[in-house]
Amino acid sequence: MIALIVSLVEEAIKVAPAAYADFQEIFSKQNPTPADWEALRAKVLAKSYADYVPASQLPPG
Amino acid sequence: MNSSQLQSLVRLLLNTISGAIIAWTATKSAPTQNVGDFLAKFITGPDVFALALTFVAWLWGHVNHSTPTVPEQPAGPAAPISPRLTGPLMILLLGCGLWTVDCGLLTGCSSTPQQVAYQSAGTTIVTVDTAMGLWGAYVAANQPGTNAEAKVKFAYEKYQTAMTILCDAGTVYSMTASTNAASVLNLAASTAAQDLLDLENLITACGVKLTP
Repeated sequence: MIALIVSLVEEAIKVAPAAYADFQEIFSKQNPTPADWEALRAKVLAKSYADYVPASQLPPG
Repeated sequence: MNSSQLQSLVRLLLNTISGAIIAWTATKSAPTQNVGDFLAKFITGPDVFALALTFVAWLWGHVNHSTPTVPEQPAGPAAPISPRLTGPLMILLLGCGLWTVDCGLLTGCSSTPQQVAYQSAGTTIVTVDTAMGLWGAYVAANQPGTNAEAKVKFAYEKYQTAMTILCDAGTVYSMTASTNAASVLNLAASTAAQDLLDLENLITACGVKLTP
């Protein structure tokens, strides 16, 4: 199972090199602080649906 | 209640039960001193049952979402979406599973539950970012219609809500490290995992090819 996870992470990094820095930051946290969780929370809320789908046909809002 | 709602209810039930068992185990078990002790306790403990329940829930979800459920407008030419999402989505699923595994299996016995949860949550965020980016490209190329878009938008916002609750639970746990906080963290992780699965299944059902 561990080998499978490692290989899949390697694949993700291979197809999306930009993800490498994010993974490196995430896995370097030995003891997440409240500030780390807050940063993660901010990352979740950073992008709305409209940011991902600029060609959306949905009405704004 | 239609069949889709019934499937979601079954998966949610399985995830909730497994999360509750793990929370109960975490509050009852004594810390282990080495890998051997941990593995022995893990193999003989109720966590194995909980982990099995989680995987059954995943399997259930994938089997029952293999047929598109969203009525689609006639699609144009196939979208030029590469199958590169397969790996990240597998990581997403495995990452969710790791939420339900006691510390030690992946990162060593010195890892805390919140460290495992933090790493899994972070991995999930990166993965969903990729998935939503591909969905945006799919919409631009295929115009799947407002009905499909509205469903994905709702699922994405539901995922955001679940993840913010998880992050809040992680914040509380990091400040208190209480057993109650651990239970809330596990429950929040289970809910977030369910919402992530729903989002992934919906994107697949809408026509984005995720496998080669």
